[in-house]
Amino acid sequence: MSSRLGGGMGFLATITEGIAVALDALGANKIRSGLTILGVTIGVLVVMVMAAVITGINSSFSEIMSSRGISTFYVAHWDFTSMMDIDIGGDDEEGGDFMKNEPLDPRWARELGRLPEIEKASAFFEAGGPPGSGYQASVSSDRVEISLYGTGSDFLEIDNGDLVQGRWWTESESERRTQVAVIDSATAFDLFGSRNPLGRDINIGRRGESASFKVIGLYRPPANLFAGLATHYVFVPFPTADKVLQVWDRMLNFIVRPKPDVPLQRALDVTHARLRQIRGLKPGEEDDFALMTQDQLVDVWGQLTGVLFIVMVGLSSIGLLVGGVGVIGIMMISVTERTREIGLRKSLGARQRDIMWQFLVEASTLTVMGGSAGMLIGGGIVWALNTFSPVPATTPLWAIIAALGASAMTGIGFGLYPASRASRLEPVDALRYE
Amino acid sequence: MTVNTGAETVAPMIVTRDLKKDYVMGAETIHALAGVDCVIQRNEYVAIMGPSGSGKSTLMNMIGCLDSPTSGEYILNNQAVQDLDDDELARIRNRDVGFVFQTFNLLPRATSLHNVELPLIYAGVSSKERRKRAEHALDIVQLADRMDHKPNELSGGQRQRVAIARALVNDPSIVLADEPTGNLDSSTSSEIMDVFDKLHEAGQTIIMVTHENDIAAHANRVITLIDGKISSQTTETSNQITQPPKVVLEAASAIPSASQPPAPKSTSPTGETP
Ligand SMILES: Nc1ncnc2c1ncn2[C@@H]1O[C@H](COP(=O)(O)OP(=O)(O)OP(=O)(O)O)[C@@H](O)[C@H]1O
Ligand SMILES: [Mg+2]
Repeated sequence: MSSRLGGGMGFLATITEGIAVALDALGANKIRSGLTILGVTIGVLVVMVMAAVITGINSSFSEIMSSRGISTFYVAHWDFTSMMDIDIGGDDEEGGDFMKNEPLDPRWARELGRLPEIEKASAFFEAGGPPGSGYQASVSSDRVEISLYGTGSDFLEIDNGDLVQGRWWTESESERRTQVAVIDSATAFDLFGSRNPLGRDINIGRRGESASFKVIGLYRPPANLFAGLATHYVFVPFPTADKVLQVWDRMLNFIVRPKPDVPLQRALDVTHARLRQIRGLKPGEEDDFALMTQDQLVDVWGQLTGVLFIVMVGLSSIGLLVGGVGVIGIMMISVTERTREIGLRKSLGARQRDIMWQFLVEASTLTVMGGSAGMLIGGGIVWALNTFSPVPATTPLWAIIAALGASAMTGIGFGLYPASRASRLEPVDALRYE
Repeated sequence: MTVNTGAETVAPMIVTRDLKKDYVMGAETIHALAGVDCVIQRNEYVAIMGPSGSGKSTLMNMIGCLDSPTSGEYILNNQAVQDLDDDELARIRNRDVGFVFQTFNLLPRATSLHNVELPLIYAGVSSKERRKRAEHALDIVQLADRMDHKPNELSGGQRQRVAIARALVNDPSIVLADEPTGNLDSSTSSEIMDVFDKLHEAGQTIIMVTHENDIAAHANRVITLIDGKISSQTTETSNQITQPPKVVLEAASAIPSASQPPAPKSTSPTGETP
């Protein structure tokens, strides 16, 4: 007869059959299958979201860095790029250089600015990132946590944000320690609602001590992650902050921009030499300050995200492992429950590999469903992050492929053992199984 | 013995020589089959009888290649089955044997049509062709109107007819039935026996295990097993069909209409649903 063709079961037929059987089994054991799927879903979800966030943060970080000019560098009284080393190294004296070294003096920024190689050097004080800065702004009973910046009158020339309304303060206002402030729209909204904040007074301070400042400008942070995370910006003249807000001078840094035609290394060298001179260091004495280039900061950032990445891989593999153990469990149960079915299929002509294939497809269907659910939810979270939060999450293609691949591999890997056990049963033994 | 079809002699369909099956249970060995020699020709309708535990099912499973003998020879269609590997055995189960079980063994969550299609899936038949042939097989057992029903929506007799359609769908050389009416009441049993009788009339070789004499009476020959050995067998009756079956399904499909008038107690088209 014409049906007596060679070969065995059609490839496609087995897949559709396997998927149908898997969906059927799924429907029959909703809770059990649901739990199995859940582990995989969570694993994939974690991979997706973490990958998206890290990719987004990374690209945003590179953006902010290059927007400030590749050759812009920072001066601090301690080397915060060595943060990671301190953590790993363990017990330095408490606080390390951060506590040991003398803080920078804002007047030195002006000195650096006079160097022929340097276009601009600006001192800024930064008590950043809510919560934790401790600084609050308030108008009568409304108060809000802020990131407080004490900067020069020329800060906008180096920073990438915009002044959308009003004005920045002048150098003479700064020298007179005038109590004026530039705030961002988030702060303005929380304190003034829809009223125009310009010309109004706000109280800035912490731990009960505060001083009144007049709002003279509205600032819009650059569109990047850090701007977004540290929402609620308040800028005040550095000398004013120093006088009335008891800022911690150890939080003072300089941002320095060399002239366009000066090579970065040259600018670093002269700055370094000038600072040693200012600090009064003798030859052979160690630096008690540090210069940090964008590259070094990017490196630190890379180390931080590298740690995050490892955590992410760990978390998601735990998810996938839990899911996988679930899959192996559910497949064992499924195989045992359906021993008679396996016997029947074998008695109707299924070969070992057909049975094997059926259960593999079944296991993969479960995990791919879990993986897809994870991807859908993860995609939703990524979208929500993009839309409702400042985190610029982007889902990289590799994350999607890795997530799907990992879930399919989990299914195949963990479905293999019960499937091969099932496929080796003698039909008659399987059929007799009670 | 061979069947004489004109000038040429046709080899028997089934030959077993000293077929044995032992089960070792601890210290004791059970000889489920203690040396069975039998020959079954094409187109025969054989009933296997014997007391419970005499080895009937064991022999049927051996013939259907669902189990392998401890020793002895089994030749099916000139092929020495004991020499075959797993894939070749699967192929024989798929194409040469149609097995009907006492407990029906349908997939509970699949429709009649899908149950009947199963052997065709393993034969690699395309889905269109599968559907056509499965519908045809269901038509033969007069269940064309129950194609989309699941087993729990069918009566016992209807379930067994679905199982028979499944056994037939790959046009096997033999249909093996182990107590096919064992779970059915007597009127449903005779309904099922009608189906087997018609298949036999159409040229199908059938081997059936039964405990009941009136069921065995449908067969042309009765083999009686006692303690794993053949103790007696009746001689063949003379109503052998000498012409080898070409396409049993096609021949059989002509039967219902042809034999409808003289078969008053055959199933009503509506069948019975619980
Ligand atoms: N898997 C097995 N393990 C051990 N003993 C078995 C096994 N299968 C069958 N037997 C034994 O082999 C003998 C023959 O069994 P078989 O099922 O062939 O009997 P049977 O003639 O079909 O009986 P029944 O009419 O009750 O169905 C019995 O003694 C039975 O206990
Ligand atoms: Mg039996």
